[in-house]
Amino acid sequence: MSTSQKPSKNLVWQLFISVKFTVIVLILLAITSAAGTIIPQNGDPQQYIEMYGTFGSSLIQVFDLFDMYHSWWFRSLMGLLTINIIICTIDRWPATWRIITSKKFNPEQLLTKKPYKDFKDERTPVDLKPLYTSFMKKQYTVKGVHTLQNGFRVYGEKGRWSKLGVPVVHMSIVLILIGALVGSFWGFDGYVNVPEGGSADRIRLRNSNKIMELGFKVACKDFNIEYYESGAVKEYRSALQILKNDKVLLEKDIIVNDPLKFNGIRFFQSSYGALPPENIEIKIVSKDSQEPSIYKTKIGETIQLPGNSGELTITRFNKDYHFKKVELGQAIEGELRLNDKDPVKIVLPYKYPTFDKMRKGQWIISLEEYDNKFYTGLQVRRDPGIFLVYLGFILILGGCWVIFFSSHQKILLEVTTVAEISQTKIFGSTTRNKMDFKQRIEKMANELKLL
Amino acid sequence: MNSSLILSVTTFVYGAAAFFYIAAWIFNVKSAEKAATWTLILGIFGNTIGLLFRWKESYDLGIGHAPLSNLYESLVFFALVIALVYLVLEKKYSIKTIGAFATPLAFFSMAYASLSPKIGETIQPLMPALKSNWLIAHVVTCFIGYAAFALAFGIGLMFMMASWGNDSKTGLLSRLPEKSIMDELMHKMVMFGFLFLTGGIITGAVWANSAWGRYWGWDPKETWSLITWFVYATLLHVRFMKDWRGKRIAVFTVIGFAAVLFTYFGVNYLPGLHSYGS
Repeated sequence: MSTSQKPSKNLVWQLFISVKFTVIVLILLAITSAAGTIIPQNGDPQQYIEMYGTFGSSLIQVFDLFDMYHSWWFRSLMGLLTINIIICTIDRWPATWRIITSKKFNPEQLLTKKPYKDFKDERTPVDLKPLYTSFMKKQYTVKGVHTLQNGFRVYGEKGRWSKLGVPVVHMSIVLILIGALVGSFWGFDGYVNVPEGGSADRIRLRNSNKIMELGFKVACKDFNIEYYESGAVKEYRSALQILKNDKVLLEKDIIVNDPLKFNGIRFFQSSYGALPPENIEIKIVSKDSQEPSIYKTKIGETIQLPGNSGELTITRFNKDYHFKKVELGQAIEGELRLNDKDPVKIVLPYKYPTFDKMRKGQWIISLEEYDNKFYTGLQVRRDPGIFLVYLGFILILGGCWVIFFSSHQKILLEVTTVAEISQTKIFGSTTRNKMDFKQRIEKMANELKLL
Repeated sequence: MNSSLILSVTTFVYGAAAFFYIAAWIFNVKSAEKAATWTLILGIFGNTIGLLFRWKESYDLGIGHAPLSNLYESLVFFALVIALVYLVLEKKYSIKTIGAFATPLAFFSMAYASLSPKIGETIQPLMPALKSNWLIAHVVTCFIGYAAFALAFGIGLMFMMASWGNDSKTGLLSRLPEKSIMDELMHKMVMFGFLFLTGGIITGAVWANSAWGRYWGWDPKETWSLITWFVYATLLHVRFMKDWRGKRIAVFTVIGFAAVLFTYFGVNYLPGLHSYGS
């Protein structure tokens, strides 16, 4: 290796292992994430221009702020954090490993500090030695028992492995991010609307808007909404079947929070909607005679009005008709062509049969009946990275637990006789949680007195 | 007896406990300290019974679910967890001045739930998305985390008073715990909170995966919980690695708690899937 390369390599390495770097990346991630909750994500381009003006919205376009969590720069920040985590772990690993595997225990080091606690005991060191030794063995790994001229020392430790907490937490974050990456490369996220009584064998992918073949059929036998007494929705339920070559492979009712799983693909209850009706009944009343006549028809068909006075074409089904901002619900739209008159658009909301009266025409038309069927909206997903993500979840919790609630503790008990009375001193050290350690030693002193 | 009444009374019991703790600190009265602890225990008792009654009442209405499903219920639960975590801290370290900063937070949470006209108290049936076994695990872990951060914030305020306050006349600040103890407790509460916040985010992610098929979707609530996580992660790193102590950490606990409050309340003003929190 040439020596000229070394400093520059070290510089990059030094940058990535500096806490300043980590802190800056974390703060940048926090600030940009916050920005993304204020600027609407994946909105309508028109909306951005209205909210931020042309200059603001073009800035938003340039920096992908309308979908910033998937933008190149946000991903780069995450990437930097990941590299930072990995390099720090590699950098510290040898030292961590040395501490975990080291057999060395230097009692002199503990003796240089003041004892946490000292107390007197009537019993002689000879009596106390076996008691203290077995006491220590119960709670710690005893590393040595030394006999002194006028007493003894027993020392031990525990929690060496707690050093593993930090690398475990950091690696589990990397694991979660890898899991997310695996999911985004080899998984998919799509949706499909399946009509009641119908089936589907292809879905539309959310990201690319492409069609994907499933290789099997998903059928919806039934869709149901259950309500509470208050009128709020209690449950959306779709009775689904998985079919291949007309053979039913799997059958399950899905509700929100309980999807169907097949071949690693999961089907979630995500939305529903009304289907355009197949059969429609239209009532037409003459303003003069009040004589009603009923017509059975379909969308796209044309009805001849009584007395050959004109015709009505049913153009479309509107599942959510709004009149002057008032929601009127499901409606049928049509085009009315009376002889010698310009065609007019008419709307027939099911819930308001007298709506067409407002037009003040010769004929009062209303929607008498139609077959009200639903489709169920399914979210279709496959995520092969989920196992890694969940493993990361478990490890990060375990690692945090170890970091916060365990520590590498060393304890040394020293007993010496001064004027026929035994004097016990408790020395110790801990890597974390000094206050709890002090309390623990207080407790230990009381227990030792009672042995 | 119904839960609303019990919980309304509990609000005043917490108020009384806060009053006793503050009085004990300001006037240095030992008897008030004793009264404070017992009043707090009474408040915790009432809070628990109130929540249990509410749970039962929801079953009587035929819409049975854990009382953790809307803003009112979460505030009541938040108060309970703050009070409980503080009580454990008091028992463990016998420092009662912290009560003067912690119990008011429990009182505020309860008072906000009971008195704000915007917060509906009626027991509502669960909407389909909330019908999951993860509801209890998710809400409980999140609020233990929030409560620990609330306590860290309270101790942070004490620390700032002790650092920047002027104590020539009253002796108020001399009755605060030693700075090194406050520093350690602040740190402890942050670590405890961080563990549970991590748990809360994870239970939320697992739940989201079972309800919508994705464990993360950058919904504002999710994003803000992650921002909060970033803030406390930064705190832990400067503490562990740069040995930041005392004042700087105290300032951090305030920033962190602001992020917690925004995650809890502020997000309801942003559009997203968690809007049932309002």
